[in-house]
Amino acid sequence: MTFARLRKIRKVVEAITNRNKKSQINQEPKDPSTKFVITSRESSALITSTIIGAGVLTLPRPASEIAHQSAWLATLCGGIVIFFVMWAITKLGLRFPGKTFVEYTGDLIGIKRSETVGKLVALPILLFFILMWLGMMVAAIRLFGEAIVSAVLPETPLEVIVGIFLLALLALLIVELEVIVRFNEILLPVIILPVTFVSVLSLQNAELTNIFPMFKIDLFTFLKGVVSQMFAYQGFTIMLLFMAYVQRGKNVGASTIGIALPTFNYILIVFATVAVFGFEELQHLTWPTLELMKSTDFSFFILERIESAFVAIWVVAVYTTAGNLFYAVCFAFAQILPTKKEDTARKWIGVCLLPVAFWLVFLPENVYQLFQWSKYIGYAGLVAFAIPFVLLLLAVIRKQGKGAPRRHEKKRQKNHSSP
Amino acid sequence: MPNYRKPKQMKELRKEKVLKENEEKKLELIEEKISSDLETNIKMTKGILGEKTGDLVVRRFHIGADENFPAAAVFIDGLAGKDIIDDFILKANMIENRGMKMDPNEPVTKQDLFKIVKQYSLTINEIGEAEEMRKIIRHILSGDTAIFIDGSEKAFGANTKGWEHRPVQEPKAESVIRGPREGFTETLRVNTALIRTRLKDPDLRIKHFASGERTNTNIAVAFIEGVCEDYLLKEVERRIESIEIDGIIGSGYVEQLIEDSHWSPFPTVQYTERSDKVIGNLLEGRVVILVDGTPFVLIAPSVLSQFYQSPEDYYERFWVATFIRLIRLLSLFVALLAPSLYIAFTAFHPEMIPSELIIAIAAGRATVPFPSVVEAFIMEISIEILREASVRLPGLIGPTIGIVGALVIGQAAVQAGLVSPLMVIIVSLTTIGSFASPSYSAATSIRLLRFPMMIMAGTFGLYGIMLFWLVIILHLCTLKSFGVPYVAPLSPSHFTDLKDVIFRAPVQWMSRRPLTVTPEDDVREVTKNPKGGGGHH
Repeated sequence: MTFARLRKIRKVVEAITNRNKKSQINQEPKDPSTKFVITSRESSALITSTIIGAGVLTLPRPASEIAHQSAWLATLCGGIVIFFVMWAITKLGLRFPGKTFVEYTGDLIGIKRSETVGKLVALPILLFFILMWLGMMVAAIRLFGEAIVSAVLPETPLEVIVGIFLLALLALLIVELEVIVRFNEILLPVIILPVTFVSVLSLQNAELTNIFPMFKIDLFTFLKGVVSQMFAYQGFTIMLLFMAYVQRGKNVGASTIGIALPTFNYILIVFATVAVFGFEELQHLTWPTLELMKSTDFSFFILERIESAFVAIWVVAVYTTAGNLFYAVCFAFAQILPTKKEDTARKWIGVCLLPVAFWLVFLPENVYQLFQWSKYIGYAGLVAFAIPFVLLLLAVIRKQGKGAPRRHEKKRQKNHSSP
Repeated sequence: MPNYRKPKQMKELRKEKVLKENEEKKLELIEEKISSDLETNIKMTKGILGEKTGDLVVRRFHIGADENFPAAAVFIDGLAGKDIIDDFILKANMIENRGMKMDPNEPVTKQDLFKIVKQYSLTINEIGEAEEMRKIIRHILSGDTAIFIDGSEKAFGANTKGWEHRPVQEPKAESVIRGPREGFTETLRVNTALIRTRLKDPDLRIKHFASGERTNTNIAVAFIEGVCEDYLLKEVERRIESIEIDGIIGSGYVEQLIEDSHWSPFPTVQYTERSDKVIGNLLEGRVVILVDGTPFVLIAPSVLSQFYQSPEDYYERFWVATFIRLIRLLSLFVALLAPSLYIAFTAFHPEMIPSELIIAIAAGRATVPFPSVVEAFIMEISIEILREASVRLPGLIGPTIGIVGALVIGQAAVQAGLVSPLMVIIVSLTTIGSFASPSYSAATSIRLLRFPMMIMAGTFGLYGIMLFWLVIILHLCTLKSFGVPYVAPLSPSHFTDLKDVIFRAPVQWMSRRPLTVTPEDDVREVTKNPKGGGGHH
């Protein structure tokens, strides 16, 4: 046996021993209670693509309504606040490995003697989240349907557009969570790049007078603007459910990236729109992002007008947002129900909810009413942001959750891992 | 309805009974051990293979020209090489071992004969010994010669395979400009040898299976031990072993029986005719399945990148290879989307096309009496007919008819005002685009998906195209090939693997095997920069 052969055999032995840390694709469950693992990049993609949705089409208008010239700064601050909420959700998820929000809230709130009490107390909280997600999904679909009618298919009835969209959502509902996260990761570039591209190119029409002076408003108004900007980020709360499956180790980093990408995109689009139109003019535009594209010259790009292409590509972003939210709704519902066959339950709940969603989509009489109602959902979102903090506080006080190592243990682990 | 059902049941029962009886009769013989009587053995062989089998040759002879030692060589005419039998079985045993019983003190007995023949006179390199009829029948059917010796309860299966087969030729379906010209043939042994000659690794393993109740097709599973992952190998073996079918005529049967989702339009097992592609895949830790009787070798697992990757990519320098790969990717998009985009733009979004162009398009479409969906469908379907016909046409006139059909019909259709000139361009682009993919089966699935895409474009314009595209991507995400996600390494993303997905990085960068197929040993050796540490020349 030659030396090369011996070396090769040693390498094989090493490879076998190192196999667990080697690959993420392997998808072998790291924790026995979970079926599969969402990799850190997948979880970032999941957060980002849930946040970015139909809202981008109108975002600059509410952004500049209160914060005026400093709208983009308000967006940034909103993103930072959202990051802390995301941090709380991540920490909460880390404390209960392999358990979703639905499963641990009951334990966290309830008393030790009886599980049912905890479950009953937790039920309103869970239902609140589910209804909020459903509302967000419905609002996104309606908003996008209106955009499609106004920009792409002016002669097609809204009912048909929404109907076919909901049917397509059904395809997403019947697959496993593993597929959903892969789907989100693959489509991430399609969601991130168009907005970046459009905003950067539209800066050719920007006027500095529209951006400066930046701080003409007082601090309180600015904070109000920040709060209103937080509405645009709501989608990430579905991570309360899916954090259970995320790969341990880089969770906080993954969540940070997941929040940072939409923040970056939002800032770009808000900055570009305000710089091009000015905040006063913006208040009169129904679809500021589409107007931005109309005002920009894309003639070098073969296509003469790009906004209908943009709206068509934007189907991707809305599909992932609405799909993820809808999936979360059905997933949470199936977990609340006392059934063992969660997969089957989820599918049937989804099928039953589709007509309800269809009805809800047409509840607002017009776009104006839709904007009003989305604002209410936004206020509900503010309450929702507080809940993870409360739960985390409860978990710390009641010393629940095994996933969080104590401080000195953490130190020891660090020493151990560094060679 | 019971009246209706009853006779059917009876019929089936009777059929089952007959089948069972036949099976039992055959099994009785097949399960039999080889007897020490020569005539019984010959009778049993004939009983199993059929009394009137024309191509079964039974040659009786006497070993060492001695009346006491009768023997028989049984083989199938055409499967076995006659020269080998003449020279090394008959001549060696009949003439060349005449001096066998020279020593009068130790006369050769019938009991020793088997050993003597094996050790002194059967000058054939590969011989199998069998004690059961079943084994010896398998030998005969695969081209070996069975040698029954009177008085021995064992028989030889001497390797005399020598049927006519196609020589190694250049693969027809996958041609490359640079790279080896040898393609696989229909013969399993030739194919495994082709792999062995190029991969002289002691760790290369070729495991054999036989499948198909009646065809008894040999299937070989090739892999490199220590590179290929255990789980993958076990899964492939399990699926092959679980095949239950009467006949495996081509590797397509195996492919369809072991693939993960047979409802999907996308192939989850790759096939190839090229030996270099197989070796590249073996080195990446994949498993290769060779099926006797077909030049198409299966590769598992296969992922989405098979749609546009070719072995040629690795022979060219990396700028060129990357460029060609991008062109192939683009051509796939063209093949999938071009007619749908035409429909969407002309029917729903004329405002997006630059004004000069839209005027030209409108002028071309002025005489066309149909909406653009119908126009596109007419053209696409006729080109599909043309394509299918040109495959079936006899060799020499095939291309001629193709050109005549495409040019003449296209020109006439435009002049008759049935289709617009732009549509002809689009259809030709689509057709050519689908041929740029190195994998025929992958290109076929794209061809297939083009039609529902056109319907969606005709009903909802760009919105419909995007929705259908999303559903396709979702479907791709659900697919798995032997435990490997179909869309890997795009998702679950693996940055180190991404250098060989769309962009083909320099070979020096690829010092590790792609982790998508989770190889056991992921280190490739890499040449150190031959220029040395930045010295001046």
